[in-house]
Amino acid sequence: MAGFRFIHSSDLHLGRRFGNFPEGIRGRLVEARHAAIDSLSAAARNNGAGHVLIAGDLFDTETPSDRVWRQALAAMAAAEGIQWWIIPGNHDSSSAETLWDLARAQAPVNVHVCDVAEPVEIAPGAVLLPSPVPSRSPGRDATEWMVGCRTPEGALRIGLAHGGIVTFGSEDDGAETITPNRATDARLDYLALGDWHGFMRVGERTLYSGSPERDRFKHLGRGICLAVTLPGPGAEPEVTEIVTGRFDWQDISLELTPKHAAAEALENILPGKGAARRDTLVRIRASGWIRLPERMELARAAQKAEPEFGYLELTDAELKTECAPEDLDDIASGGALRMAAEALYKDAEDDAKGAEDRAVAVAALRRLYSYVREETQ
Amino acid sequence: MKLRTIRLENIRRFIDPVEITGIGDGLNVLVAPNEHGKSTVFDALHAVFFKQRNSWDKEVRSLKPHAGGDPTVAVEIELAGGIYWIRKRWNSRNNGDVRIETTGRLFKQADEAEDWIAEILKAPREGGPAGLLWVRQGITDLANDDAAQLARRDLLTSVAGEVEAMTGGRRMDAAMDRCRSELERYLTVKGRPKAGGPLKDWQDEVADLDTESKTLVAKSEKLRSELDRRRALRRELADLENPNEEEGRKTRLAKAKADHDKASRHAESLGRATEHEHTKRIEAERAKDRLTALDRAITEISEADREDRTAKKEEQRAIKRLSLAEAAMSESANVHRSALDRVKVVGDLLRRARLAESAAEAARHRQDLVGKINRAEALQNRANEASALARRGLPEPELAKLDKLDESVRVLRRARNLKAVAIAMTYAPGRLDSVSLDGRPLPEGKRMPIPDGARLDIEAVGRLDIHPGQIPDGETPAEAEANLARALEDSGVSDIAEARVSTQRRREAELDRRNAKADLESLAPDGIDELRDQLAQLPEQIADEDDLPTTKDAEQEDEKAREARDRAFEGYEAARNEHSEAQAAVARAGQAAESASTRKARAALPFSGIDDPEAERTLRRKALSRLRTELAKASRRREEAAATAPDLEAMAVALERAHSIVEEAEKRKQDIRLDLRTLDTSIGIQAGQAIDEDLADIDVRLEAARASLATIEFEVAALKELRAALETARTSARDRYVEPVMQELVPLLRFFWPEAELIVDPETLMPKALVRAGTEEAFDILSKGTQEQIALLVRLSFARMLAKTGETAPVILDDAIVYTDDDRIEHMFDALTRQARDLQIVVFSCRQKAFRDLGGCNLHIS
Repeated sequence: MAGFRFIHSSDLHLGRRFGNFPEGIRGRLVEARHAAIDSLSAAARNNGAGHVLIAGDLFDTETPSDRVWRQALAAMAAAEGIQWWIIPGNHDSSSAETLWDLARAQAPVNVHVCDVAEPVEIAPGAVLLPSPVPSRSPGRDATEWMVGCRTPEGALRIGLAHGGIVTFGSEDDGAETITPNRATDARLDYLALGDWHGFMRVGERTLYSGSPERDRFKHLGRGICLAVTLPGPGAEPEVTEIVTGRFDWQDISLELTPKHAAAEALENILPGKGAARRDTLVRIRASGWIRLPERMELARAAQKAEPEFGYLELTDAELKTECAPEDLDDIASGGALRMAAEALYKDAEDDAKGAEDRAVAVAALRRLYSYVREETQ
Repeated sequence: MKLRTIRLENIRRFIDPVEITGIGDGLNVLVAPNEHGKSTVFDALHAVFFKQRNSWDKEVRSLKPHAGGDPTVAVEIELAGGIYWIRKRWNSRNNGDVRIETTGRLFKQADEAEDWIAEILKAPREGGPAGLLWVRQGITDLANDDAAQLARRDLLTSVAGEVEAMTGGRRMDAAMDRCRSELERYLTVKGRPKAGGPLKDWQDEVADLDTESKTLVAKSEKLRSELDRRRALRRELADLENPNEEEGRKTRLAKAKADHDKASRHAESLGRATEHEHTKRIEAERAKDRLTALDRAITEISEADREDRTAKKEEQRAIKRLSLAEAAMSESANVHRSALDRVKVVGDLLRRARLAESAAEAARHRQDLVGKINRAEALQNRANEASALARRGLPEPELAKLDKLDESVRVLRRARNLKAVAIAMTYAPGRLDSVSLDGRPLPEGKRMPIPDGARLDIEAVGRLDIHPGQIPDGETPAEAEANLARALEDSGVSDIAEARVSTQRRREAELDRRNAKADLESLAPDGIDELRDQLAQLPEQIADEDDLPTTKDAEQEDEKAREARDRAFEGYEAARNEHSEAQAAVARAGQAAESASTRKARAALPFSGIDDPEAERTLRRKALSRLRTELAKASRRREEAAATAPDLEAMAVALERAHSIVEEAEKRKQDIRLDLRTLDTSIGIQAGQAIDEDLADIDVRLEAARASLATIEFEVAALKELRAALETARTSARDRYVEPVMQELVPLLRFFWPEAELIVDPETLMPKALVRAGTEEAFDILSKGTQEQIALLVRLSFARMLAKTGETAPVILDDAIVYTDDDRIEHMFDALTRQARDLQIVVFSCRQKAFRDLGGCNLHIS
């Protein structure tokens, strides 16, 4: 095997509890995050890598519960022959002394917490330049020291850092500090970055691996890690994406028009098939215009499909309801019901009213429609 | 639908089949006494239309005859031109049957037949004719029969045609019910979030999570601040324990100590130089003093010598002056003494001269005084005598008193005589004096009053006693005389004349005394004794001296002698003064001489042991000059030392600071270690609580809960909006919905109460109130008769509405007009007859008499 090979990952955010998801999926999401450690060691083993570099935010908070961090260390210890190199990120910055003190004290021999910015020779001829994040919002570029750091002649220089790249943005807004050309000016062969939860190639030597297990609809698909091979000093790194995520996150926008058969459109757009849907989390963002009956159908279709998925959410905040005369006829062709329906419709179309009031009127009209339709059926 | 025939079998008393036939189109009346089965017919009719064949409920059971048997009812109806026979039989096994025949063949049976019946009772819009309209015996309460109300509702619905659509009808109710029941999940009746409902639950959840989040934020901040603090302390401790720093502190201390020692030594040598300079200065000053003293002693001794000599000369002069003064004083003393002697001699002479002069004067005076005294004593004696005389005389008042008494005697006597009998004798010639009165001859011719009678001795005749007649009133002269006599006696006189003399004498003596007294007064104003005193005071008589000069000469001599004496005294005084002064001058000069002599001796003292003052002075001068040079040198040395001296105080401060820095560092290290131990414990405990993990979780859940709450609030808002829209729409629809009923009802009402108006509740379609003459009367307080009539009219108007839709429904009245009196019944029947033009009305009544002549088709049970 030529060159030096390792796994680049970050942002496991162990200890995140997903309280915003329904209870049914919550436990599975938590469990999947822990399982990401095993996925990473499997990825290392399968790709002949002896090292896993975690570019920050291994833990979600500075004080994870004992269960979280001890089980994490145990899982890493179980990965025989693999060296774990960890830097504190902004979520678990090195100011979390208790965490890192304990972690260091109880770390198995193959786990290395790099909370000091100093070069470490992690393998013969391969020097790691870790930039631990000193506090939650450091406000400075922690990688600057790499420029002046001397390493033995002919050794590989691998940067490990966490944070947003200036002009590229960060996971948490306003935390961009790392200069985009750090890999160049610090003569790095590779700069392994964390913070961004999705994969991103900033430069040929500067990459975000993303989280091995996705945690929100911002970054879609399954989580990955990167298998990186450095052929030699100065040579371009070879980077392979390896899927590690269990859950497939999908954020789908559904554009509708009154002519659409909305329920059908929804069914067509739903991802995955059969058993795979159990591990799929979907957010359908419906938008456009839709008629009252379709709207009812759409809600029913979503309701029907929902149990197949790990999680299915239909957001219709952007979806506007168009009301045709025949829709009102469906409610009643005349009389009091018709009067009520028309009053609501008028409110819904009344530009003088606030958006919220109009939305309420639309909702009331929709409700009336479904009452009457359900009664009829 | 119209009823044509009713047939009963095994219905209560009608075990054998009975029939009511020939029911006409309009008004039909079945009049029969009570207990003839009218109500049975009515109940049977109701059952055949509304009771399913497999029912065996209370109502159906009540139809069963005592004798047993299955109740069977059959009705012939005309519907849309066709004639149908409905025959229904019930039994206790719940499996009765129903058949419907038309034109002699079976049309429907079993369930289909029941459905068909239900259908014809439904509202026209639903496809069938309207149901029957029932008014039972004495029913005024329109609301107590659900079926009837439903029928009315359906009727009304059918009549109004569009009513279903208009009010939303059942669908409206259903929508409203769903809306309400869905809202009830969230809100209480009063519109508050309902406990246990999703809205309240989520509100609580958000509030709880919010609280929890705040608590955790506080905890997290505490932990973070403690971590920060621990980090700062650790850094500080590391700095403190840094060997370079420690070394630095120690080096600084050592240097400060060395600097301080050096400065101390320098300070000591400066001290010595200062001391030396001081010594030299004192020595120089002392030498200077010695020189000055010598200079002063030399000057002093020469001055003292000079003064001594001068003083001695002065003393000699003073002594000489004193001896001169003594001689002068002795001489003037002699002169003075002689002058004094002369004054004495001359004075004696003058005195004697004056004595002689006054003795002569005194002798003259004595003579004069003796004369005066003698005269005065004579006058005194005269006065005394006169005074004694005056005292012996009768005083004037007493005389006046006596005069008065005397006067009174005389007046009385005269008055008695005038009043009294008087006699006057005229003597016969020759007979003169032959008559004596009281012993005395009675004068011739003279009137003689005899107040007291009288005894007349008439010579030769005898005695004639004349007795007085009446005794006059008042004092009698005798009494007055007695008074006078007593007074005279008291005054010591014998008669009034003597009294007068006595008084006269007294007056004269008094005058004499006064004269004598006056003379004495002028002679010796101060009394005779005064004169005697003056006499006694006169000097003794002395013997005359010869050769005495005159007083005047003696005075001149005396004057001269005195002047001489004064001059001699002045001379003496001057001599004595000079003597005193000379004496003082001697004393002064002696003293000065003594003091000069003392000074001279004292001035000589410093020179003891000095043989040659000038040589000594030269010596001393040299010594002073030498010492001054030495002092200048010492001063220079001291100045040099001072100029180069380091600041000892600053060195001491620096040393102290260096010390305290080292100590502080040690103390700080200990404090920090202690703080760190505390912090380690606290942080250890908190870190184990996974605060941040909890907080992150809570915040995520809080956000989710807020979103859920917002969704629910939106849902509640939408439901409320819907409910409001439905209620508004229904209310306005209902107002329109009641209209057709009123259109039918109003003409009927006018028929009974030309001015009245009826208010109908749109919800129940019940009459709510009757308005007569502007007064609104609630329906249930109207009289039974009125209620009954209105109820009937309402039904009739419903029936009319139904008829107008092309369907007719029989109106069946079972003794419906029991409260109405006969007059009203006629009225009512007019109404019925009028209505019956469009409607089929069947009236059951027991009031044979009242109904007999009302017309209509009379029915019979046969």
